[in-house]
Amino acid sequence: MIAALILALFPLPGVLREARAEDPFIVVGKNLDRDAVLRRDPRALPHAAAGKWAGFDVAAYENAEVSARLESVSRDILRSDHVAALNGLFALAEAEPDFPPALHMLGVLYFRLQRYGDSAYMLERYVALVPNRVGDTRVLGHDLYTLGRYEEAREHYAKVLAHAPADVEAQRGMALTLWRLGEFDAALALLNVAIERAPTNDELWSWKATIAFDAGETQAARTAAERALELDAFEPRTWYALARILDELGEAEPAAAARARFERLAAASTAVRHAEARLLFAPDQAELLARWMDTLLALGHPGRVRAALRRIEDSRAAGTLPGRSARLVARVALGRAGEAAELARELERDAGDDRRAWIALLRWFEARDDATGVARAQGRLGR
Amino acid sequence: MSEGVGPTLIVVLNSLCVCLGSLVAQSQPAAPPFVDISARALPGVATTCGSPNKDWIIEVNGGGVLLGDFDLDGIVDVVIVDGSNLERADKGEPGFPPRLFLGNGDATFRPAPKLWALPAGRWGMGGATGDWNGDGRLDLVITEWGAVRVFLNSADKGFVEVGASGLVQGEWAASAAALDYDRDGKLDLVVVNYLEFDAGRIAKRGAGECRWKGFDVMCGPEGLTPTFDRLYRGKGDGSFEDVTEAAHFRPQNAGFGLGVMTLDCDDDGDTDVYVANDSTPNFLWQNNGDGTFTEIALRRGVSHDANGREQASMGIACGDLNKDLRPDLFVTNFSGENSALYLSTKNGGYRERSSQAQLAGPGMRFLKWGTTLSDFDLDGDLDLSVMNGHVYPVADEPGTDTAYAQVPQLFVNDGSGRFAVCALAGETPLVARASAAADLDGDGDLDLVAVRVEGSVLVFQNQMAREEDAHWLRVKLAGRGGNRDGIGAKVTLEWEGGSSAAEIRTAGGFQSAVPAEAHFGLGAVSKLKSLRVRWPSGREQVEEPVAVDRVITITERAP
Repeated sequence: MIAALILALFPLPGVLREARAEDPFIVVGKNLDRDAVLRRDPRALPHAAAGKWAGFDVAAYENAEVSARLESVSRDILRSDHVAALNGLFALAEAEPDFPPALHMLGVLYFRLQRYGDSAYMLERYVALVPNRVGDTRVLGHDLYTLGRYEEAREHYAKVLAHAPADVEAQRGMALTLWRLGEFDAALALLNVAIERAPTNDELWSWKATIAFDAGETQAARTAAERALELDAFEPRTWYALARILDELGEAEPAAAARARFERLAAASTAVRHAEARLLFAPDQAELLARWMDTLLALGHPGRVRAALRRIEDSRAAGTLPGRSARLVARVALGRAGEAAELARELERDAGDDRRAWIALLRWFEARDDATGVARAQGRLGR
Repeated sequence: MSEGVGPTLIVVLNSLCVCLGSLVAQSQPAAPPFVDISARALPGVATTCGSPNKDWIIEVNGGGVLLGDFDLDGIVDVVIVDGSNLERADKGEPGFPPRLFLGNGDATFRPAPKLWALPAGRWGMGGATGDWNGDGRLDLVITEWGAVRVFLNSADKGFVEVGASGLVQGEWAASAAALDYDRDGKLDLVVVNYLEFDAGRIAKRGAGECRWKGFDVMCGPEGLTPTFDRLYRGKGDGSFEDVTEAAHFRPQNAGFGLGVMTLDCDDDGDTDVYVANDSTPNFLWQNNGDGTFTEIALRRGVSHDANGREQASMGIACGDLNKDLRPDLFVTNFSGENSALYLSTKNGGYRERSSQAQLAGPGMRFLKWGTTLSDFDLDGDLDLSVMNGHVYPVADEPGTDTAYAQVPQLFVNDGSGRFAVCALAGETPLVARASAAADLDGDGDLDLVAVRVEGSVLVFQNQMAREEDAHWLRVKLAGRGGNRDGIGAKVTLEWEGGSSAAEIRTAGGFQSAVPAEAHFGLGAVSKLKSLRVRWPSGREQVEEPVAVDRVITITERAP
């Protein structure tokens, strides 16, 4: 059971839905002192006695309490409640110091919370205990890269790739590190290997465009950028690279069009990024979730809107007015207004003077060509 | 990895402090490249910027440093621009006045006589220097939250404020720079504005509205309204005309402007303007030569980082790093972001090369502000100084990957365009902000004056070991007409097998100003074939031969 829960947080196994309030290991909502969790220094967590975890075999490990705690943590992670998950892992670490899977999960969680130093510390502790599992720790490479410690990142990615040579994410990380170190040719060669393994990975193509342009390989950069945009037309980085490539090639008009597209997407992406940064620490805050949906709708990326819709529907905010408004407006944007009749009916019943709710309803009525509803919503909105 | 974030930053610097390896015996501990002489250079001089809690964004920029020779004795003086606090501002009381300190020539300063006293404004930030009335004396512009004030240097009467300056008031002006964009011989002015700040309409830190890494912090700039920058045409008497609209110096969207630099990015002889914006794309205003500008930062590759992401930019340094006789740009950014090094390319664009130059990684965890691109060790290539310090006191909490107080850094060029990092003046972490470089002690190398966000002003004397045959030259200009200092001129030195170029400017990058002179470190070059000046008027002038290891003044010849 434990083996199934750990060592592979991307993605987590199993489909765990709503956390149960009665779960003894879950501290939810206002009971959780989030600031205290965030202020806790992970370096102060107790260490196991030397040698305790030598030869640790996750497949053979059985401990019902540990298993239950990990399940609880997994549920928190699935709800994107990383602070609650951290809290659960702290408790586990107190009960079972240096339990390797807990260290690994803490490392990944801290990475998600953008606490790269803490993440690196946890994963280094993990690798020190179970050196044979270094292949699980590409995130440590990401930490070192993000902290600007490029030589150390290169060294670590090399270790990960020695154990997991087909790890595309580690290959991408290593390629970016090599680029940062000025080794353009090696970076591009590694990206090409990764692209052979994952030819529809738009990020790989996008980075190839950026790095090839930097390396002066303008035509190769253009080809890569165009392929990346076929796979994902919403990535600002790719449009930025393409605009610069076209400028370099003297194609003024297409370059100007690419710049315009970039500027629109970059502004929208920035708003998304800011919203997501806030949600990291307040995953169930309804108003934040609704604002996040607004930013995604402005970006216009259907895949990300769908993912956000799923998250809001799975969140504790799903039934709130902002939550329902966000769900309705997302369904309309995705062309699924027909599925939302009941949602719209209930939202209208409860909307009162809530402006966000009426804007969502207005969009729904418009999508349904419901002139009476449109007039009603416009009236409530004072239009 | 050590226990806390603060000590970790110091440890990282120590482990990397190898830049003097070739200049000192390996068995000796490396002396810091600069020595902090603040206590004797500017004793008791401190600035204020709000409360130490930093509840509001108005409290985090710190004050300004304006270097120049105000009393015309040939020695660099300094104006320290001071701030205020919200209690004073709320009561309508003035902030703390800017103060002039006269240089003694040994990197120390003395308070200027009372006649030089400057009246207090609302809340000082920085400013600009230039001879705006063309009388040969260095005047002042002070930028403030809510005002921009002009002071003419009247020698025996000290500074006299210009009553009807024509400058737009009521905006939060961070940095400013002197230039002669229309080449009419009268200095003009660019003012970079930050954002609309009203404590009555913005949540205070602690209200839970604004968080960083999960911690409560002051709000902004995200969510606040940026303010457009301003371009003013000088009338030659210390007053100005707002030509922002007429000169097309207005982008589609305003940025959160913090830093400004004048430069001739396209080498066409007229002055362009680069603006560092916080959390919004940076601007490069290309001077069209007809009184108008075009914003071309995105086209030239200097608006975003290498990935097309906007950064939280603060300071700007400018100089010819890749020795193509065109200006390159170095822009300091927020913690977690690399500083950007934009190197000029053959086709007039720029490429961001901070990582390849080994400038990105060592600065990643620092929040970077005032910066200078100068040849500090006189070995013939440009080095970089960077002042660091966070805006959030909670940066000292666990897990932020940074700290509130941070060590100022020096990046020493190894001659190939790669840099090694050192602690600039020892291991004491500071919350530093604006800085400016000049030869304060007349020994040919450049020293630094800097402010902290609040507290005592910093003076760093350059004591870098230099080769015995390291040479230098400081070039001042005496132009014809109103632009006496030749701001906007380009000075090119040529010697057997090499050349080097620098522009004359007073813009210091972030809330600062520097003396209007070109400083060259020459390494072993002891004989110059020629010194070429391209004056702002476009006229070329060649001087030969030129001796080194001195300060020279080139006077513009009659046409």
